[in-house]
Amino acid sequence: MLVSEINIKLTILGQWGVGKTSIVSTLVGKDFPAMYIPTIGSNIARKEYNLTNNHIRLNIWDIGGQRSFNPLNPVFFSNLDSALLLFDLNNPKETLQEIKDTYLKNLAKFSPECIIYLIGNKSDLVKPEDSEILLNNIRKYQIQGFPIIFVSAKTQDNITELFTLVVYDFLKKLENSGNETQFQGISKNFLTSAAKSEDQLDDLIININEIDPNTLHKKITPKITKKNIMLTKNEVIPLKEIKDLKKIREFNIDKNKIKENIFSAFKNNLVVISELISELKKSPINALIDNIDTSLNDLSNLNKDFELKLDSILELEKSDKNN
Amino acid sequence: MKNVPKALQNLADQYEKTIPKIDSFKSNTKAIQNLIDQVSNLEREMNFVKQEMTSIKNDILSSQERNEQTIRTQEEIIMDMINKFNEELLQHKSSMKEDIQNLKTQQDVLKISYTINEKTFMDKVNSSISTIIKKQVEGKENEILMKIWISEFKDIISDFEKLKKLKPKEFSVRLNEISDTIDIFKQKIMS
Ligand SMILES: Nc1nc2c(ncn2[C@@H]2O[C@H](COP(=O)(O)OP(=O)(O)OP(=O)(O)O)[C@@H](O)[C@H]2O)c(=O)[nH]1
Ligand SMILES: [Mg+2]
Repeated sequence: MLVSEINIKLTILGQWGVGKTSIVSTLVGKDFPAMYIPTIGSNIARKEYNLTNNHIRLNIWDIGGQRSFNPLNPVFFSNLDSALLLFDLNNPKETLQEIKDTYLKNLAKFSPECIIYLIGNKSDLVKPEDSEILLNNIRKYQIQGFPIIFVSAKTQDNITELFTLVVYDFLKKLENSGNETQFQGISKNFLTSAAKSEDQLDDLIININEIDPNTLHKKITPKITKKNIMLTKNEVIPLKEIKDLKKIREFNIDKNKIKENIFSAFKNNLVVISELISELKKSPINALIDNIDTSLNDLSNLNKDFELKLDSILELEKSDKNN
Repeated sequence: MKNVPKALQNLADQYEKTIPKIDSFKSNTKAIQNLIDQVSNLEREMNFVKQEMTSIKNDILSSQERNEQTIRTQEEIIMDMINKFNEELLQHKSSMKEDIQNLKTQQDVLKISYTINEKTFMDKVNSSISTIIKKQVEGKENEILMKIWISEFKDIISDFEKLKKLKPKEFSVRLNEISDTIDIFKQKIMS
């Protein structure tokens, strides 16, 4: 039997500094970033899951949240299958407000069909005694109808589980929507191969209206530390919004690191394009036209992204000269 | 006066008759005298006019002469100038000829030395251009690659848009070409 390809487009959105890049990095096996380097434009990561008859490719678009890099560009919101809306458990008010004001509206407009999750990151920073305040703060925003999950990129708590849930939900939707029989049973198969049960995945979701603040902390404290991570005690690095790359010196961020970062993201996206094209070459003729349309959309988004990255490097260079 | 001889009588009669004639003669003589006076007056006036006319004639003659003289001198001056100008022009021309000749020889010399040195010259130019480029490019290789890729990628996208209109066979050929271009870039940018 032919192995069928399933592509899922997932976007991670949220205010700058909430930990989008950290989450993706740790998911794909890189180290937790030691310091904050703002993402400029979009970085695409891929996570693959192989089943007997299916090859699932999760395309994860990590979008830079600094307003100066235009995170609300409609191109980041089109053709999405799923979206993670990230907020910072250490700064829930501001970061939830950002989600409510901007990202949710754009998603409803450009990808009304996509599955949305509300993700509270940096759970390692939540102190037991602050649980109640935190929950009340979240309730206040009344962003309802979306599953809420707490994770920590730093301790990797709930990270792989979160993405397993994302894929699982998508496959369930695929099973239910298509009249094609080829996807029957695929979500079950996936769970088995991921060695997870439906209950475990359900357990990720925090029922914000019913949860007892006293049990929250038990729920979000990692049971096992999954990697050798030096856990310094609740240190919080003050982050600042970057309005102008030319003034990067004020932010205590190593300019060359940013440049390196941009270039490596540029290379990374180029590789993704090359993969996209070779996958396209493999797709059956009848599916080609459809695939070309979606690919074209991604390609033109990426072209704008390449331009943004180059412009940003040039801006940084200008800051070199001014210093 | 009956015994007056007839002849005498006649004479007296005649005399009688003559008196008015003499009178009229007398008055005529006066008139003639007047006329004579008038004529002599006229003559005098005529003389004056004649004199005047000669003097005017003289005047005219002399002024004409003067004018002719001025014109002659002016003509002479102009001729002088023209001659001078011609002379200078001639001089100038000859000196220009010299200059042009000089230039021509210089050019010839240059041409010869240029053909001789062309290769070495071009080598020098090339090497200095490449050092300039190297200096310019140093540390900016990535940006340049990025720039080239962006413009290349634009072409790829427009090729892609055209793909849809092609037949399946041409289609896969073009897709292969596109993927080859991308791979070349991938290698360049990764190295
Ligand atoms: N304690 C803690 N810190 C975290 C966690 N995740 C991220 N951070 C820190 O938060 C800062 C921002 O993280 P990033 O992942 O770069 O944030 P981002 O959302 O990608 O930011 P932009 O790219 O600017 O939108 C960094 O200093 C991270 O070290 C976490 O789970 N716990
Ligand atoms: Mg980021």
